[in-house]
Amino acid sequence: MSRIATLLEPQIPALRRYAFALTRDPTAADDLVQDTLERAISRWVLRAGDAELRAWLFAILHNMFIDGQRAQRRRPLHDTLDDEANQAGIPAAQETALIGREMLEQFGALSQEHQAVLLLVGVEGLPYASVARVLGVPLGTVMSRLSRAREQFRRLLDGERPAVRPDLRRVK
Amino acid sequence: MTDPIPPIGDDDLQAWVDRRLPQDRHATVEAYLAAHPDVASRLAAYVAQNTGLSDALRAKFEEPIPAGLRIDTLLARRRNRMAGHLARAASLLLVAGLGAAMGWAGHGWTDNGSQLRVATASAVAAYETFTVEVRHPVEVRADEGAHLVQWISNRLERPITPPDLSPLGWRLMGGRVLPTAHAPAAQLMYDDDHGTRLTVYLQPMGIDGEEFRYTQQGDIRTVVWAERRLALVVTGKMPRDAIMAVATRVRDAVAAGATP
Repeated sequence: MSRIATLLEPQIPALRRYAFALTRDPTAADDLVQDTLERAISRWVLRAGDAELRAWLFAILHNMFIDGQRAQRRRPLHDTLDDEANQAGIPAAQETALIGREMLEQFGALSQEHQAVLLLVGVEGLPYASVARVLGVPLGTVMSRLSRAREQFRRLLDGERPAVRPDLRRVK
Repeated sequence: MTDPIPPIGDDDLQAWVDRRLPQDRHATVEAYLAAHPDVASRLAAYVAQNTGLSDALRAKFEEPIPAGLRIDTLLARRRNRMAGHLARAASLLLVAGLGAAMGWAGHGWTDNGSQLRVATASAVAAYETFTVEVRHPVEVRADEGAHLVQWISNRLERPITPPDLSPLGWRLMGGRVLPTAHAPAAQLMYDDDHGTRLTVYLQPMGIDGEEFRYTQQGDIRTVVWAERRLALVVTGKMPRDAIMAVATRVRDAVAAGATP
Protein backbone atom coordinates (compact mmCIF):
# COMPACT_ATOMS: atom_id res chain seq x y z
CA MET A 1 0.00 0.00 0.00
CA SER A 2 1.29 3.44 -0.90
CA ARG A 3 1.98 6.03 1.80
CA ILE A 4 -0.84 8.20 0.52
CA ALA A 5 -3.22 5.25 0.90
CA THR A 6 -1.97 4.56 4.42
CA LEU A 7 -2.84 8.11 5.41
CA LEU A 8 -6.07 8.55 3.46
CA GLU A 9 -7.88 5.25 3.90
CA PRO A 10 -8.37 5.49 7.68
CA GLN A 11 -10.26 8.75 7.05
CA ILE A 12 -12.72 7.25 4.58
CA PRO A 13 -15.35 5.91 7.06
CA ALA A 14 -15.73 9.33 8.69
CA LEU A 15 -15.85 11.09 5.32
CA ARG A 16 -18.58 8.70 4.18
CA ARG A 17 -20.52 9.31 7.38
CA TYR A 18 -20.32 13.08 7.00
CA ALA A 19 -21.22 12.94 3.30
CA PHE A 20 -24.16 10.65 4.01
CA ALA A 21 -25.43 12.85 6.84
CA LEU A 22 -25.32 15.89 4.53
CA THR A 23 -26.88 14.24 1.49
CA ARG A 24 -28.89 11.40 3.09
CA ASP A 25 -28.40 9.62 -0.22
CA PRO A 26 -25.88 6.74 -0.13
CA THR A 27 -24.96 6.98 -3.81
CA ALA A 28 -24.58 10.74 -3.84
CA ALA A 29 -22.57 10.48 -0.62
CA ASP A 30 -20.06 8.02 -2.06
CA ASP A 31 -19.77 10.08 -5.24
CA LEU A 32 -18.97 13.04 -3.04
CA VAL A 33 -16.36 11.05 -1.11
CA GLN A 34 -14.79 9.83 -4.34
CA ASP A 35 -14.57 13.37 -5.71
CA THR A 36 -13.06 14.44 -2.40
CA LEU A 37 -10.41 11.73 -2.44
CA GLU A 38 -9.54 12.40 -6.07
CA ARG A 39 -9.09 16.07 -5.35
CA ALA A 40 -7.05 15.29 -2.25
CA ILE A 41 -4.77 13.05 -4.29
CA SER A 42 -4.32 15.68 -6.98
CA ARG A 43 -3.49 18.33 -4.37
CA TRP A 44 -1.57 16.04 -2.07
CA VAL A 45 1.59 18.14 -2.14
CA LEU A 46 -0.41 21.21 -1.09
CA ARG A 47 -1.78 19.76 2.16
CA ALA A 48 -0.90 21.57 5.36
CA GLY A 49 0.60 18.55 7.11
CA ASP A 50 -0.43 15.14 8.33
CA ALA A 51 -1.72 16.53 11.64
CA GLU A 52 -4.22 18.70 9.81
CA LEU A 53 -5.13 15.99 7.30
CA ARG A 54 -8.56 15.34 8.75
CA ALA A 55 -9.69 18.97 8.71
CA TRP A 56 -8.20 19.40 5.24
CA LEU A 57 -10.22 16.45 3.88
CA PHE A 58 -13.43 17.59 5.53
CA ALA A 59 -12.89 21.06 4.09
CA ILE A 60 -12.52 19.63 0.58
CA LEU A 61 -15.63 17.51 1.01
CA HIS A 62 -17.62 20.35 2.49
CA ASN A 63 -16.71 22.74 -0.33
CA MET A 64 -17.55 20.17 -2.97
CA PHE A 65 -20.90 19.57 -1.30
CA ILE A 66 -21.68 23.29 -1.28
CA ASP A 67 -20.62 23.63 -4.92
CA GLY A 68 -22.78 20.65 -5.82
CA GLN A 69 -25.74 22.15 -3.95
CA ARG A 70 -25.42 25.33 -5.97
CA ALA A 71 -25.51 23.33 -9.18
CA GLN A 72 -28.40 21.21 -7.91
CA ARG A 73 -30.58 24.19 -7.13
CA ARG A 74 -31.24 24.56 -10.83
CA ARG A 75 -32.70 21.06 -10.94
CA PRO A 76 -36.13 20.05 -9.63
CA LEU A 77 -36.21 19.19 -5.95
CA HIS A 78 -36.87 15.68 -4.78
CA ASP A 79 -37.33 14.07 -1.43
CA THR A 80 -33.90 13.30 -0.04
CA LEU A 81 -35.34 11.03 2.63
CA ASP A 82 -36.23 8.12 0.39
CA ASP A 83 -36.37 4.60 1.73
CA GLU A 84 -32.93 3.59 0.61
CA ALA A 85 -31.38 6.59 2.30
CA ASN A 86 -33.08 5.78 5.54
CA GLN A 87 -32.14 2.11 5.44
CA ALA A 88 -28.48 2.87 5.13
CA GLY A 89 -28.38 5.08 8.19
CA ILE A 90 -30.27 2.83 10.55
CA PRO A 91 -28.60 0.70 13.20
CA ALA A 92 -29.70 -2.91 13.45
CA ALA A 93 -31.76 -2.83 16.62
CA GLN A 94 -35.37 -1.95 15.89
CA GLU A 95 -35.94 0.62 18.60
CA THR A 96 -32.64 2.33 18.01
CA ALA A 97 -33.48 2.26 14.32
CA LEU A 98 -36.70 4.11 14.90
CA ILE A 99 -35.04 6.75 17.02
CA GLY A 100 -32.24 7.09 14.49
CA ARG A 101 -34.74 7.57 11.70
CA GLU A 102 -36.70 10.19 13.63
CA MET A 103 -33.48 11.89 14.57
CA LEU A 104 -32.22 12.08 11.00
CA GLU A 105 -35.59 13.28 9.73
CA GLN A 106 -35.64 16.12 12.21
CA PHE A 107 -32.01 16.79 11.54
CA GLY A 108 -32.78 17.15 7.84
CA ALA A 109 -35.15 19.99 8.65
CA LEU A 110 -32.29 22.11 10.00
CA SER A 111 -30.51 24.59 7.78
CA GLN A 112 -27.44 23.29 6.03
CA GLU A 113 -25.13 25.51 8.09
CA HIS A 114 -26.60 24.14 11.29
CA GLN A 115 -26.36 20.55 10.08
CA ALA A 116 -22.71 20.96 9.17
CA VAL A 117 -21.63 22.44 12.48
CA LEU A 118 -23.55 19.84 14.51
CA LEU A 119 -21.98 17.01 12.53
CA LEU A 120 -18.43 18.31 12.57
CA VAL A 121 -18.48 19.08 16.29
CA GLY A 122 -20.85 16.48 17.70
CA VAL A 123 -20.30 13.46 15.45
CA GLU A 124 -16.86 13.91 13.92
CA GLY A 125 -15.45 15.43 17.09
CA LEU A 126 -13.30 18.00 15.32
CA PRO A 127 -11.79 20.74 17.51
CA TYR A 128 -13.61 24.07 17.15
CA ALA A 129 -10.61 25.64 15.42
CA SER A 130 -10.62 22.85 12.81
CA VAL A 131 -14.36 23.30 12.27
CA ALA A 132 -13.68 26.98 11.62
CA ARG A 133 -11.15 25.99 8.97
CA VAL A 134 -13.49 23.46 7.38
CA LEU A 135 -16.36 25.93 7.16
CA GLY A 136 -14.12 28.87 6.31
CA VAL A 137 -15.53 31.07 9.07
CA PRO A 138 -14.00 32.65 12.23
CA LEU A 139 -13.94 30.67 15.46
CA GLY A 140 -16.50 33.01 17.04
CA THR A 141 -18.92 32.28 14.22
CA VAL A 142 -18.51 28.55 14.80
CA MET A 143 -19.37 28.94 18.47
CA SER A 144 -22.45 31.10 17.91
CA ARG A 145 -23.63 28.94 15.05
CA LEU A 146 -23.16 25.84 17.17
CA SER A 147 -25.20 27.37 19.95
CA ARG A 148 -28.06 28.32 17.65
CA ALA A 149 -27.98 24.97 15.85
CA ARG A 150 -28.24 23.02 19.09
CA GLU A 151 -31.13 25.09 20.32
CA GLN A 152 -32.90 24.82 16.98
CA PHE A 153 -32.44 21.06 16.90
CA ARG A 154 -33.60 20.73 20.49
CA ARG A 155 -36.82 22.58 19.69
CA LEU A 156 -37.45 20.43 16.65
CA LEU A 157 -36.97 17.22 18.59
CA ASP A 158 -38.82 18.56 21.58
CA GLY A 159 -41.82 20.05 19.88
CA GLU A 160 -42.57 17.46 17.26
CA ARG A 161 -41.38 14.15 18.61
CA PRO A 162 -41.87 14.26 22.39
CA ALA A 163 -43.03 10.63 22.53
CA VAL A 164 -39.87 9.35 20.92
CA ARG A 165 -37.35 11.35 22.93
CA PRO A 166 -38.91 12.03 26.31
CA ASP A 167 -35.47 12.78 27.71
CA LEU A 168 -35.29 15.79 25.41
CA ARG A 169 -38.49 17.35 26.69
CA ARG A 170 -38.07 20.84 27.97
CA VAL A 171 -37.93 20.97 31.76
CA LYS A 172 -39.24 24.16 33.28
CA MET B 1 -7.50 38.15 47.44
CA THR B 2 -8.05 35.73 44.54
CA ASP B 3 -8.14 36.58 40.87
CA PRO B 4 -11.65 37.38 39.69
CA ILE B 5 -13.20 34.42 37.87
CA PRO B 6 -14.39 35.24 34.33
CA PRO B 7 -18.17 35.01 34.07
CA ILE B 8 -19.83 32.01 32.47
CA GLY B 9 -20.09 32.32 28.72
CA ASP B 10 -22.09 30.45 26.13
CA ASP B 11 -18.78 29.13 24.76
CA ASP B 12 -18.15 27.55 28.18
CA LEU B 13 -21.48 25.77 27.97
CA GLN B 14 -20.91 24.50 24.43
CA ALA B 15 -17.45 23.32 25.38
CA TRP B 16 -18.91 21.53 28.41
CA VAL B 17 -21.28 19.63 26.08
CA ASP B 18 -18.36 18.56 23.89
CA ARG B 19 -16.02 17.81 26.83
CA ARG B 20 -13.67 20.44 25.52
CA LEU B 21 -13.84 22.65 28.58
CA PRO B 22 -10.40 23.71 29.88
CA GLN B 23 -9.64 22.12 33.25
CA ASP B 24 -9.64 25.45 35.09
CA ARG B 25 -13.22 26.22 34.00
CA HIS B 26 -14.72 22.94 35.15
CA ALA B 27 -15.53 23.85 38.72
CA THR B 28 -17.04 27.18 37.69
CA VAL B 29 -19.33 25.64 35.06
CA GLU B 30 -20.38 22.74 37.30
CA ALA B 31 -21.30 25.16 40.05
CA TYR B 32 -23.31 27.25 37.60
CA LEU B 33 -25.20 24.22 36.29
CA ALA B 34 -25.98 23.06 39.81
CA ALA B 35 -27.55 26.42 40.46
CA HIS B 36 -29.41 26.54 37.13
CA PRO B 37 -31.20 23.23 36.49
CA ASP B 38 -32.98 24.56 33.38
CA VAL B 39 -29.66 25.26 31.73
CA ALA B 40 -28.36 21.91 32.91
CA SER B 41 -31.27 20.10 31.29
CA ARG B 42 -30.77 22.06 28.06
CA LEU B 43 -27.14 21.01 27.99
CA ALA B 44 -28.13 17.43 28.71
CA ALA B 45 -30.37 17.59 25.64
CA TYR B 46 -27.38 18.85 23.63
CA VAL B 47 -25.29 15.93 24.81
CA ALA B 48 -28.14 13.63 23.77
CA GLN B 49 -28.05 15.24 20.31
CA ASN B 50 -24.39 14.34 19.94
CA THR B 51 -24.87 10.73 20.98
CA GLY B 52 -28.18 10.37 19.13
CA LEU B 53 -26.72 11.62 15.85
CA SER B 54 -23.62 9.49 16.27
CA ASP B 55 -25.79 6.43 16.92
CA ALA B 56 -28.01 7.14 13.94
CA LEU B 57 -24.94 7.36 11.71
CA ARG B 58 -22.95 4.52 13.26
CA ALA B 59 -24.06 1.96 10.66
CA LYS B 60 -22.68 4.20 7.91
CA PHE B 61 -19.40 4.61 9.74
CA GLU B 62 -19.00 0.89 10.26
CA GLU B 63 -19.93 -0.09 6.72
CA PRO B 64 -17.09 -1.68 4.70
CA ILE B 65 -15.49 0.80 2.29
CA PRO B 66 -16.65 0.26 -1.32
CA ALA B 67 -13.84 -1.05 -3.52
CA GLY B 68 -14.21 2.00 -5.76
CA LEU B 69 -13.07 4.24 -2.92
CA ARG B 70 -9.82 2.35 -2.26
CA ILE B 71 -6.97 4.79 -2.71
CA ASP B 72 -5.00 2.41 -4.90
CA THR B 73 -8.03 2.12 -7.19
CA LEU B 74 -8.28 5.90 -7.42
CA LEU B 75 -4.54 6.21 -8.03
CA ALA B 76 -4.65 3.69 -10.87
CA ARG B 77 -7.61 5.46 -12.48
CA ARG B 78 -5.77 8.76 -12.16
CA ARG B 79 -2.64 7.32 -13.78
CA ASN B 80 -4.71 6.15 -16.75
CA ARG B 81 -6.35 9.54 -17.11
CA MET B 82 -3.00 11.29 -16.91
CA ALA B 83 -1.54 9.04 -19.59
CA GLY B 84 -4.48 9.95 -21.84
CA HIS B 85 -4.03 13.66 -21.15
CA LEU B 86 -0.31 13.46 -21.85
CA ALA B 87 -0.82 11.64 -25.13
CA ARG B 88 -3.40 14.20 -26.23
CA ALA B 89 -1.21 17.09 -25.10
CA ALA B 90 1.77 15.64 -26.95
CA SER B 91 -0.16 15.27 -30.18
CA LEU B 92 -1.51 18.81 -29.86
CA LEU B 93 2.00 20.08 -29.26
CA LEU B 94 3.19 18.26 -32.34
CA VAL B 95 0.47 19.79 -34.48
CA ALA B 96 0.83 23.24 -32.94
CA GLY B 97 4.61 23.07 -33.15
CA LEU B 98 4.61 22.12 -36.79
CA GLY B 99 1.99 24.69 -37.63
CA ALA B 100 3.98 27.40 -35.90
CA ALA B 101 7.27 26.17 -37.37
CA MET B 102 5.81 26.51 -40.80
CA GLY B 103 5.29 30.18 -40.20
CA TRP B 104 1.62 30.28 -41.02
CA ALA B 105 0.54 32.31 -38.08
CA GLY B 106 0.42 35.57 -40.01
CA HIS B 107 -1.38 34.32 -43.07
CA GLY B 108 -4.81 35.24 -41.82
CA TRP B 109 -6.34 31.97 -42.84
CA THR B 110 -9.94 31.24 -42.05
CA ASP B 111 -11.28 28.21 -40.23
CA ASN B 112 -10.69 26.27 -43.40
CA GLY B 113 -7.13 27.51 -43.15
CA SER B 114 -6.68 26.10 -39.70
CA GLN B 115 -8.12 22.78 -40.82
CA LEU B 116 -5.69 22.71 -43.70
CA ARG B 117 -2.90 23.56 -41.27
CA VAL B 118 -3.82 20.61 -39.11
CA ALA B 119 -3.92 18.35 -42.17
CA THR B 120 -0.53 19.62 -43.29
CA ALA B 121 1.02 19.13 -39.89
CA SER B 122 -0.31 15.58 -39.80
CA ALA B 123 0.93 14.95 -43.33
CA VAL B 124 4.42 16.22 -42.49
CA ALA B 125 4.52 14.14 -39.32
CA ALA B 126 3.52 11.05 -41.29
CA TYR B 127 6.03 11.91 -44.02
CA GLU B 128 8.86 12.22 -41.53
CA THR B 129 7.84 9.03 -39.78
CA PHE B 130 7.49 6.73 -42.75
CA THR B 131 9.67 7.93 -45.64
CA VAL B 132 12.81 7.12 -43.64
CA GLU B 133 11.67 3.51 -43.22
CA VAL B 134 13.82 1.10 -45.19
CA ARG B 135 11.92 -2.13 -44.62
CA HIS B 136 8.35 -0.91 -44.01
CA PRO B 137 7.80 2.44 -45.72
CA VAL B 138 4.27 1.37 -46.66
CA GLU B 139 1.87 -1.03 -45.06
CA VAL B 140 0.31 -2.30 -48.28
CA ARG B 141 2.55 -2.37 -51.33
CA ALA B 142 1.52 -1.09 -54.74
CA ASP B 143 1.74 -4.56 -56.25
CA GLU B 144 -1.31 -5.45 -54.15
CA GLY B 145 -3.09 -2.68 -56.05
CA ALA B 146 -6.67 -3.86 -55.68
CA HIS B 147 -6.25 -4.55 -51.98
CA LEU B 148 -4.67 -1.13 -51.40
CA VAL B 149 -7.50 0.68 -53.20
CA GLN B 150 -10.17 -1.28 -51.35
CA TRP B 151 -8.61 -0.84 -47.93
CA ILE B 152 -8.11 2.90 -48.19
CA SER B 153 -11.48 3.44 -49.86
CA ASN B 154 -13.21 1.52 -47.08
CA ARG B 155 -11.51 3.35 -44.26
CA LEU B 156 -11.95 6.81 -45.79
CA GLU B 157 -15.50 5.89 -46.82
CA ARG B 158 -15.12 7.08 -50.39
CA PRO B 159 -13.51 5.67 -53.55
CA ILE B 160 -9.79 6.42 -53.54
CA THR B 161 -7.65 5.59 -56.55
CA PRO B 162 -3.95 6.44 -56.27
CA PRO B 163 -3.11 8.97 -59.01
CA ASP B 164 -0.66 7.88 -61.69
CA LEU B 165 2.43 10.08 -61.36
CA SER B 166 4.65 8.01 -63.67
CA PRO B 167 4.77 10.72 -66.41
CA LEU B 168 6.62 12.82 -63.78
CA GLY B 169 8.97 9.96 -62.92
CA TRP B 170 7.26 8.88 -59.64
CA ARG B 171 6.29 5.28 -58.97
CA LEU B 172 3.61 4.32 -56.45
CA MET B 173 5.20 2.34 -53.61
CA GLY B 174 2.03 1.72 -51.64
CA GLY B 175 0.14 3.25 -48.78
CA ARG B 176 -1.27 3.05 -45.30
CA VAL B 177 -4.20 4.21 -43.19
CA LEU B 178 -3.38 6.66 -40.37
CA PRO B 179 -5.31 7.75 -37.30
CA THR B 180 -6.37 11.36 -36.79
CA ALA B 181 -8.46 13.01 -34.10
CA HIS B 182 -11.52 12.78 -36.36
CA ALA B 183 -11.55 10.13 -39.07
CA PRO B 184 -8.90 7.85 -40.56
CA ALA B 185 -6.58 9.47 -43.10
CA ALA B 186 -4.40 7.81 -45.72
CA GLN B 187 -0.84 8.22 -46.91
CA LEU B 188 0.27 7.20 -50.39
CA MET B 189 4.01 7.02 -51.00
CA TYR B 190 5.88 7.39 -54.28
CA ASP B 191 9.58 7.19 -55.14
CA ASP B 192 11.79 7.93 -58.12
CA ASP B 193 14.90 6.35 -59.62
CA HIS B 194 17.14 8.10 -57.10
CA GLY B 195 15.20 6.73 -54.15
CA THR B 196 13.67 10.11 -53.35
CA ARG B 197 10.27 9.74 -51.75
CA LEU B 198 7.16 11.89 -51.66
CA THR B 199 3.79 11.39 -50.08
CA VAL B 200 0.22 12.25 -50.95
CA TYR B 201 -1.80 12.58 -47.75
CA LEU B 202 -5.59 12.41 -47.82
CA GLN B 203 -7.73 13.46 -44.91
CA PRO B 204 -11.55 13.58 -44.97
CA MET B 205 -12.72 17.00 -43.77
CA GLY B 206 -15.82 19.11 -43.97
CA ILE B 207 -14.24 21.56 -46.42
CA ASP B 208 -13.61 21.87 -50.12
CA GLY B 209 -12.86 24.48 -52.75
CA GLU B 210 -9.55 25.49 -51.20
CA GLU B 211 -6.79 26.48 -53.62
CA PHE B 212 -3.16 25.40 -53.46
CA ARG B 213 -1.18 26.63 -50.50
CA TYR B 214 2.52 26.13 -50.64
CA THR B 215 4.83 26.12 -47.70
CA GLN B 216 8.35 25.20 -46.85
CA GLN B 217 10.02 24.19 -43.62
CA GLY B 218 13.71 23.41 -43.88
CA ASP B 219 14.00 21.14 -46.89
CA ILE B 220 10.44 19.82 -46.63
CA ARG B 221 7.96 21.37 -49.04
CA THR B 222 4.23 20.91 -48.93
CA VAL B 223 1.29 21.83 -51.10
CA VAL B 224 -2.14 21.56 -49.51
CA TRP B 225 -5.61 22.09 -50.94
CA ALA B 226 -9.10 20.75 -50.42
CA GLU B 227 -11.81 19.48 -52.70
CA ARG B 228 -14.72 17.07 -52.42
CA ARG B 229 -14.54 17.26 -48.62
CA LEU B 230 -11.02 15.95 -48.70
CA ALA B 231 -7.84 17.75 -47.69
CA LEU B 232 -4.89 16.72 -49.87
CA VAL B 233 -1.27 17.34 -48.94
CA VAL B 234 1.70 16.61 -51.17
CA THR B 235 4.90 16.46 -49.15
CA GLY B 236 8.46 15.99 -50.33
CA LYS B 237 12.04 17.19 -50.34
CA MET B 238 12.28 18.64 -53.82
CA PRO B 239 12.32 21.99 -55.59
CA ARG B 240 9.16 24.04 -55.56
CA ASP B 241 8.52 23.55 -59.28
CA ALA B 242 8.71 19.79 -58.94
CA ILE B 243 6.28 19.57 -56.02
CA MET B 244 3.88 22.00 -57.68
CA ALA B 245 3.92 19.77 -60.77
CA VAL B 246 3.03 16.75 -58.64
CA ALA B 247 0.25 18.64 -56.85
CA THR B 248 -1.17 19.82 -60.17
CA ARG B 249 -1.21 16.32 -61.55
CA VAL B 250 -2.90 14.93 -58.42
CA ARG B 251 -5.49 17.69 -58.56
CA ASP B 252 -6.14 17.01 -62.26
CA ALA B 253 -6.58 13.33 -61.50
CA VAL B 254 -9.20 14.19 -58.89
CA ALA B 255 -10.93 16.55 -61.30
CA ALA B 256 -10.94 13.79 -63.93
CA GLY B 257 -12.90 11.64 -61.52
CA ALA B 258 -10.17 9.25 -60.52
CA THR B 259 -10.31 10.05 -56.83
CA PRO B 260 -8.06 11.63 -56.15
